[in-house]
Amino acid sequence: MGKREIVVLMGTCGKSAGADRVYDKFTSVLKAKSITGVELKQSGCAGLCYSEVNVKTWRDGKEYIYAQITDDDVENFIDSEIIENKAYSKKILFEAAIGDDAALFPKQKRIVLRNCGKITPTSIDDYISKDGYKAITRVLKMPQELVVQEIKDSGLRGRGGAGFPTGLKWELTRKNPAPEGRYFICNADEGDPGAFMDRSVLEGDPHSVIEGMLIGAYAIGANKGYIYVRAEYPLAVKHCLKAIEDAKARGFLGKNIMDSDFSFDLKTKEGAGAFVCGEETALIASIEGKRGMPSLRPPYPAEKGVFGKSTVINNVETLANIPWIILNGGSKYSETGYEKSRGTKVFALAGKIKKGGLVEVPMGTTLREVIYDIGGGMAVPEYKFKAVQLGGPSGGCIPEKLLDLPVDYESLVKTGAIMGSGGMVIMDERSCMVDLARYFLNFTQNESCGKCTFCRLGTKRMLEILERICNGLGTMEELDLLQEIAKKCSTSSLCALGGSAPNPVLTTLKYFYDEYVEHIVNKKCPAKYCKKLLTYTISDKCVGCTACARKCPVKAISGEKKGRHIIDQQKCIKCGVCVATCKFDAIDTE
Amino acid sequence: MKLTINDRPFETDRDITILEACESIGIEIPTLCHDPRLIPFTSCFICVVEVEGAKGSVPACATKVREGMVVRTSTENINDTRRLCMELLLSDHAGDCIAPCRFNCPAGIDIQSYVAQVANRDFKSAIKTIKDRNPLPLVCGRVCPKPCEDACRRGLMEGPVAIDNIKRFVSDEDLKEPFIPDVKPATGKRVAIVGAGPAGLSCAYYLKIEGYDVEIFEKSDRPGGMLLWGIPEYRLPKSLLAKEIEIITSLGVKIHFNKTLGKDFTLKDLKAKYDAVFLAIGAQKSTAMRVKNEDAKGVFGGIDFLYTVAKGSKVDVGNSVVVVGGGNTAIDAARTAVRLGAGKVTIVYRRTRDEMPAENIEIEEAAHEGAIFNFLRAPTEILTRNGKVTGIKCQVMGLGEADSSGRRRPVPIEGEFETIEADTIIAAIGQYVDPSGLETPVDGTNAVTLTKYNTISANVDERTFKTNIEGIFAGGDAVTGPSIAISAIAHGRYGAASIHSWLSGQPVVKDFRSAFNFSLGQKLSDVDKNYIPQASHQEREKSGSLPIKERLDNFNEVDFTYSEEQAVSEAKRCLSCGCLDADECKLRLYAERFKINVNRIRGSIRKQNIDNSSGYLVFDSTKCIKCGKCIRVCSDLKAIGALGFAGRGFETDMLPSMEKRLVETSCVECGSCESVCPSGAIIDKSLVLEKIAQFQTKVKPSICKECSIGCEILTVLYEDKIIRIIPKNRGTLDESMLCKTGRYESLSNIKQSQAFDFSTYERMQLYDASIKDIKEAISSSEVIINWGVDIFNNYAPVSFHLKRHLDKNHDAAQSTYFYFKTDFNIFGFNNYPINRVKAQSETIMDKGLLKVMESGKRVLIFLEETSLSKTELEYFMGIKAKGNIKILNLVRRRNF
Repeated sequence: MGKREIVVLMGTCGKSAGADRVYDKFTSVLKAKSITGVELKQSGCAGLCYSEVNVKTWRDGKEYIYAQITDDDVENFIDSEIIENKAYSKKILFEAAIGDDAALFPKQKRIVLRNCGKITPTSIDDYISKDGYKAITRVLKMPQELVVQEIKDSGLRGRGGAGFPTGLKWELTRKNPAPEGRYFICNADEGDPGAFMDRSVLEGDPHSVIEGMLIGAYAIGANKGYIYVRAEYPLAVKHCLKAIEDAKARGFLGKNIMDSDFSFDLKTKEGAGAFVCGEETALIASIEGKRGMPSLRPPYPAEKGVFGKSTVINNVETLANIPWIILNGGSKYSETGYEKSRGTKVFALAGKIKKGGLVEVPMGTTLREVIYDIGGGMAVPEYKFKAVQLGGPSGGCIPEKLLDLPVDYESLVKTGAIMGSGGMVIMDERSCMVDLARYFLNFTQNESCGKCTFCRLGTKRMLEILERICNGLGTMEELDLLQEIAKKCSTSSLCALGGSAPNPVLTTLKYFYDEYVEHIVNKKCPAKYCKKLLTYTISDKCVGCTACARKCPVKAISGEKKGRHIIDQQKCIKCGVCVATCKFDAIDTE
Repeated sequence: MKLTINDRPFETDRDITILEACESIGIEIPTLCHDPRLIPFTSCFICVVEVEGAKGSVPACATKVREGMVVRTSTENINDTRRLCMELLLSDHAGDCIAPCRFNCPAGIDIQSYVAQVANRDFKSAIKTIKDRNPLPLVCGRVCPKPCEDACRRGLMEGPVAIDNIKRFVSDEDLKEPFIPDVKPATGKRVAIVGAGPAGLSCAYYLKIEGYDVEIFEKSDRPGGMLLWGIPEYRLPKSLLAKEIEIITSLGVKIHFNKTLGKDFTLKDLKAKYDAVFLAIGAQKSTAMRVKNEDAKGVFGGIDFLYTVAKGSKVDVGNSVVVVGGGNTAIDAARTAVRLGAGKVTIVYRRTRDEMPAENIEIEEAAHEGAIFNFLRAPTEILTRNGKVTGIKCQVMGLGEADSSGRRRPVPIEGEFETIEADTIIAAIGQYVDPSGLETPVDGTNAVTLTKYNTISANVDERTFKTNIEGIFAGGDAVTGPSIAISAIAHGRYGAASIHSWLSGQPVVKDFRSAFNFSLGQKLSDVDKNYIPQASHQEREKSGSLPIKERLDNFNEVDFTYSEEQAVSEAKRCLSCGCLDADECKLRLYAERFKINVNRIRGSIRKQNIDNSSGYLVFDSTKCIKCGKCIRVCSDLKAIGALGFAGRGFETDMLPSMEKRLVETSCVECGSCESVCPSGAIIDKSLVLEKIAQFQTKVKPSICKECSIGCEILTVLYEDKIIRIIPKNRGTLDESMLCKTGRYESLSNIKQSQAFDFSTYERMQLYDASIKDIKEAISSSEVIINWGVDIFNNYAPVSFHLKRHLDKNHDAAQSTYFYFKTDFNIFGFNNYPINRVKAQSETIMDKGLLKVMESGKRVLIFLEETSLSKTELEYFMGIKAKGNIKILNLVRRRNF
């Protein structure tokens, strides 16, 4: 093993959990203790977001991942790991033989995330040491058609959401004459609430994306490219810029790459935060300096893309797969998978789940396996699983009865949800499904570019209906209108934002119709979430401690000391402070 | 390429869109955001069609036709989509298609227009506008309870516009030199009208205009009906009423006086002698109180009392008078009693002031004049001595639950009574129709059907006013029961229209009410103040009235007419609610076509955002539908980019770029945005008139004379005055876009009276030019205009002589001006040193065509008759020039 290494995982998620402080503490403690021979390194997120800050070490042929390290742990950690040369057992998350990802991440298969949390993203040497830029070296000696064929063989499909076969996209683009050259774009405008795999890859392994782009650009004959990345991802932007600079310095980017005839000029373009710019025609408009507004396809970007030129747009996750496929072969990639969905898919687990973070599983893994076996089940076990929202605001929710569905583009579409970018928001009994639809619709309404009538106004009117239902003011007629607008909105919008905006409404109506009716007819929220529909009452558990009465902001609670208190329903504003205050569980919510 | 459109085969070899394909075979696809000159934008989604195999509906404006495509343009699903789309667009709209005043007026007078005309001091037009729907404005200007003012949006500010006072001013003004409408040639058909009240007179007026021979049968000895007998002199002087009626009779309407239905003639007689009959007999009987001793001496019915006074009979009301009732008749009776010398006048009403149906101002005036109100009292018995009234006993009432009229119902408080002394009691509690003469059968065994209230049953809902008997129509109070004058007048007019259509076999002309009309709210209380048009504070003009003490012993008119200044100033208060784009608005057109119910989808509306900064254009984003046409025309066609989208989602707005005010952007005020806007979001400001409204206008083609490009334009004429210039949109670039100078600034240059009527000009001679003509003409001209002829390529001799002339005669060249219709026809002169000819560049902007033609210079015009549009030809042929103009028609000939 030689030199000892301590690696702090410092993705944005790690940093927000305090990774910077931990890292600084390591630096100062190592210095204070005058320890040499230990290399302190940074790496990206390994997907274990629920347990940050993560620290990794290797010792005696084994790999250790530690969880929830704070700066208070650092001193003892160094004493134990470095000085005493034994594991800091208090905070071990996993230990496994070096390189045994299967043991570290059971049920997962890491292709996209292969380097995340392992290499230092700002070091091109680290990437090269993991077979980095080997694939492009090989590709440059291959005829372009063969490269396309390899990707076609892999069965790889676009991971941005729509699932269009990547090899086919490249092939179709090549068929369009392009006397003025082509563009190759990486779409890193990850906007779904609850999805963060693209950020993690760009932060943790930017070179793999650049190499993927190089291979694609070579295959289609593009000489210019952009990484269109959200400005809200400053670390990803920083790492991309550094990676581009380093790759240029090493001759992997720029003119006559690795002495071949192939040149590729790559720039980053920061998006201003409009969700719709993830839609490819809007993304193109944005790169061109126009307002990010989608336009009708055809013409597809393959024909007329950036500045009217033939263009390929691939998502970050898709591109991160490419070097692996070239090195290991398309057929090897397609060994993994299910039906028409080959390879792996990264999911971002969030919501009421125990182990939130990133997971990468073979296509065909069931949702139940992802949520329970990998995600560890519900965060608070006494509250039962209710539904999982798949694909963010454009996706739909899937109820318990469908959890044995395999992760596969076609199977998921049948449920009304979509694979989308792979965001999974897990909800338990305390989540109100009407409110869920309202939440996502609020998001899409705010993010609509305002062009199409149904998307601009249809989503607004649907949102208003949902708000009324959540406030107990909805009617059954409005529920019909909600369905009517939702259906028309999905068939009469230009882009996927408008077309899929009604999905949360349609799927919750499909699987949780009774919950809507309950809100409208009985003015009750079964999840006890919609505040306007709640009634707080004080039960005989009340001991008359007066705590709630003192905290109530509208003085709605009265009662004698040591006597049972009552809530004046007229005055009550349903803020819930009393429930939070009561130590005797005496306040019932209906 | 072969495809199927609506099950019909379609073939084309062109790369066209579905919309273009459909248009080529006469299938109209509705669209709001598409313009053939612009790149398809596909935002409105009204143009959707069904394409077999396609996912969802397909926007026809941008989708290209493909081999084997199966297109359906009007399936149920597509129509539902379009309808929902329209409903959504209208759910975020604010404004009034038709001004609420007009909507609330029973006669539907175009109030916004006549108020604007008064603001423009065009009183002649104002009376014409009024008399189009009301032949008795002088009456209405005095007695109307003004439902129009109840709806006036300005009521949410300092108070409604004093519409009625403005009307009164206009009609008083009209008496000086009355407006007499054109009467159409006689049809030879005769119509009999029973009753010379407001309904009968109005019906007579409009039938006469249509060319009918109209005769009115009136029971009394004077015309006017309830206006004469029921409205006291101090409110409506009889002499004025007579003058206004005289205008009607002067058209040739005959009135037979002292002819009572059922006594002097029967309906059957009329039916036999006339082609149609209109029954306008009114509701003239006083309703009895049904209390003890009602027949005692000193008890009058309200209307009987007023009738007696109006007739001039002496009435001694004694010292104390009690009037029973809360309507206008009760107030009229009370104020009349005051003038007859009563010392104490008490108005007894069974409800309270809030429930009184009488007009507020009338109630106030009565109180000022000394009348006392005694509310919550219901008469139970009239007290008498020797058969003469001494007082009235009333039950004391309280207010209970609201009844069907929405007013709280009076309920007796048991055992509580009040007795009021009285010498005279006037029971003004209601009137009813006297059906005598109607009960006899008209044809065979059928008599005219009455309702359970004894009114005549006529079709009011569909405004045909037909009774059960073919050829007999009825309207006014006789149909509605006692109502207001303007309602009877409206019945008369609609009745006349119905009779005309029945007699002529033509369909009834559709009223504005039957069209789609968006409204901010029919009731003022429903209207959100934040969406009414903005205006600076200006109080309502007060009309003067007689001081109280000068009223009490006479019947002189109490209220005064506005002065001209007052009327004009008050008219300027009008907010012009009725959308100035209402007739051109595509949103309204489709809403009408798809039968949109605006109440189905309701929700919040974007904040009003009006940019008034330009001198020529107004932007109102609450009427904007985000089609982006203005933005695209501005950036893609004009390359100016003064407009853009801002915000996201529901808050997306079309705004001047960088959210500045329009004048702070690169806007050149060319008005191209206005000409493409499908709704009223962008409109032209009124540049010629102080105020414009939904005026009746005509459109005439012409040519802009501001520069030598000579764009074809359409002039919008109102009363023979050009009030707007708009592009002649034929779908090509140069014909659909004007510049600020041509479109707006020129409005002040135009010689309004003469410039546009081609027929008034001397016709110019058009020469088919020979080479000799050309040579001569060139050498003797000071100004040469080439009107779009490609001389260089097609008429070499012309360019040859032109060039030679310039080469040979340097001085002549220096003093010759050249104009070219279009820039690209500069032919050989591109190569000429510019200092050798005073070319267009020097003169193009500062000397307009007309100025050149009228400059007195020797002008030569080359044109090609065969390639000119009709407008161009008419223009050149019709130019009346002070100068010496020669027009050479170049004819393509081989030997040329």
